[in-house]
Amino acid sequence: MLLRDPKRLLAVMIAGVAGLIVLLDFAGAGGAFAPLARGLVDWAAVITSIGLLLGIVSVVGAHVARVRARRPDWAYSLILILAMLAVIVAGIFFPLPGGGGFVLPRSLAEIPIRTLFRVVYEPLASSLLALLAFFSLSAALRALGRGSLEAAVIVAVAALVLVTQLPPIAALPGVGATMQWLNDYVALAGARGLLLGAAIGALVAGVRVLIGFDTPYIDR
Amino acid sequence: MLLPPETILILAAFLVVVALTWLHHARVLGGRFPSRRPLPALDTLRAALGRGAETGQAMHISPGASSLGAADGSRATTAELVAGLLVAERVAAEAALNGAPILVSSGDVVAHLALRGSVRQAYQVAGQAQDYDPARVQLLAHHDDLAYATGVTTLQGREGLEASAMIGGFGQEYLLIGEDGAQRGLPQVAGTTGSVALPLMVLTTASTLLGEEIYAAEAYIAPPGPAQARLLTQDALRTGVIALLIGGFIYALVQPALGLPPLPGL
Repeated sequence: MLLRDPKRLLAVMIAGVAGLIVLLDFAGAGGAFAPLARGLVDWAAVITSIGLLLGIVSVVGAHVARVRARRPDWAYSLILILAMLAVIVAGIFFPLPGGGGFVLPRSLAEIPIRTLFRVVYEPLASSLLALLAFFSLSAALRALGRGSLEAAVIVAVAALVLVTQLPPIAALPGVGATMQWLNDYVALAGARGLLLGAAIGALVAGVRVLIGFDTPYIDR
Repeated sequence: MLLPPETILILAAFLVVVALTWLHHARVLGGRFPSRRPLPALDTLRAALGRGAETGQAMHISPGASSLGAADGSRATTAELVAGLLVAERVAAEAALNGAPILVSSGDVVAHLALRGSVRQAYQVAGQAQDYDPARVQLLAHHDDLAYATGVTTLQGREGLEASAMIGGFGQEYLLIGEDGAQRGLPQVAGTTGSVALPLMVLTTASTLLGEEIYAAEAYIAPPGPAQARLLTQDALRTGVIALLIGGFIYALVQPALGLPPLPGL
């Protein structure tokens, strides 16, 4: 089927060869593969940046349309656009004094963008994270009410871990060693089983993409 | 130029997987489909697609805040995202065929572009290109799990969804989405490979895909065809890994008594 569709064949070949080069470099082939793989990964970073620009255009377009049409919750869209503008303006029009003149911040982790994040975003994100404790309690109670065996096991193990970390309980003889044994042998075995299964799935998914059986990157 | 032994070993293993993939693909193309164990989680998804066609309410699909090939390798969840993309494409194809509306969201720009492409293609392949609406594929955040989670909860509150399928890379932020959905009575299908999000998924929905099941999901949603070859390859590799583990265990048991050399790394 591929041979009858040159456009698809070319795309599959480019994807396959690029993937193989990066794989060989990852496997330690060295030589000419290292700079080639580095170049490909750099290209991916550039494409991601272009994708970010397209994403910004898409987000702005969607929210401007929402504001114009006065759709429900349009005010939130307006706040989003203004916040985006604030970060862009802070990054471009308030450059930092540098040795050779003014320099733009290189990342979100530098002033003045950093200041915006610290005073506005981080408190909001922390509040949301704090909610997770209540959400997990609510989810656990609902799951127990549902009568799910898996959920009951999860809640029981979580409760066990929490209780055994209390200082008076943790100080009891044998508790620490038992928990360590459970962690090292039971929990780790489960985690490794999960990891192995997921790795096999990921390997098959990757190989199918590399040899062109699955082509999520292609236009038909 | 000679390659190091480790590289040759990795390449040999890779070639074995490629050969198995080809073999199973050919086998499925020849009409020999694998027998599948039931995955009840996906029944929720199929039922929601059927209901969506009648109620006109959208089915939400999300690969999470997975990122495609992060250049620094720090938080790349490429494989999970590929699984999420394939599921989104299959669900979009089914939705295009039966007229159920969908709403797709993501938390990474590259994933967003990939989703726009794959969903559009799904509608084209189904012969319903006129029904594809790019505004139904939304970018909610970029490399920010919490922002993405709040975006999804907003969608869940505003759009009146029929169901939500969240299959891909998720972390603790899933709880914000999943619990909000559960409180709204929204049927949810969730799946990931991460050990942080999986317990949270089990708590918030009965329809959970555990670990490797997310890679099999596409083959279960798709009509009988090449997609099912992946199940055969996954099963063959899993059998091989189990055999290696048992063989290694027995070898480690008898090795001191028989004076055999120890296994590498032990």
